[in-house]
Amino acid sequence: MAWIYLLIGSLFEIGWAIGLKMSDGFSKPLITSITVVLILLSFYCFTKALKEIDIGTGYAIFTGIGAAGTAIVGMTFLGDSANLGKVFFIALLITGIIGLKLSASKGILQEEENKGTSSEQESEEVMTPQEVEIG
Amino acid sequence: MAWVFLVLAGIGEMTGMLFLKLSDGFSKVKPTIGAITAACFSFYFLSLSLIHLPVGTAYGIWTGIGSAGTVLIGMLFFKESAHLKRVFFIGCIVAGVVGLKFVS
Repeated sequence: MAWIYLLIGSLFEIGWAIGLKMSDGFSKPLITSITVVLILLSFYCFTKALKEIDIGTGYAIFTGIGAAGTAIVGMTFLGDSANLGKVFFIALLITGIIGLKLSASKGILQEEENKGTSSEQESEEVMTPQEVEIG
Repeated sequence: MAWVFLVLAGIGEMTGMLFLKLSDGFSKVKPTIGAITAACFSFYFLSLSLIHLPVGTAYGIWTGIGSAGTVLIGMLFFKESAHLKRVFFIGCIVAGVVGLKFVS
């Protein structure tokens, strides 16, 4: 459930990041109000998630989804330029988010380091060095 | 000046995260007040910086400072794992967030 809260909070975050830009330094009342509501919703969900998830992990995933999402929305709807570099960093973000999620889930399962469920296999492929698992 | 505002916003973010974790889901009063104060501080300065900087740039730097700082706070104050795998993936996210700035 904590991870669901984290995901929902991240989606609200994309909304307020866009709203923040459109509010021109909080000078437009309607957009500012919507932005503030989204910020509150986003942090409510995030705090719920933090009861179970490590703060470093939770925050990285929260902002990672927010950053990737904001860039995608910017390129798709707000006329921001799209280029290979952006796509690369968005891919890097998604790699980090998925990898961190999988290794965090493993942590919850009492660090069964070398058991290798199917989800762990995936994260190992991204990660590569085998000695990390052993050491 | 926009960059100074941005750094202040990043520091506010780290502080806010520390209090947010301490607030235990907004159930403890003092850390909750601390978290809200730090968040207002952070958003205010982020918003000021956004007047002069593109959203991708400002957001990238802000979260770069915030997430790297928050990971350190987690390790220092809450004894969170410094396992290589965890640091690697968090590094991917921080690099991705900040990298987006340089290509925006």
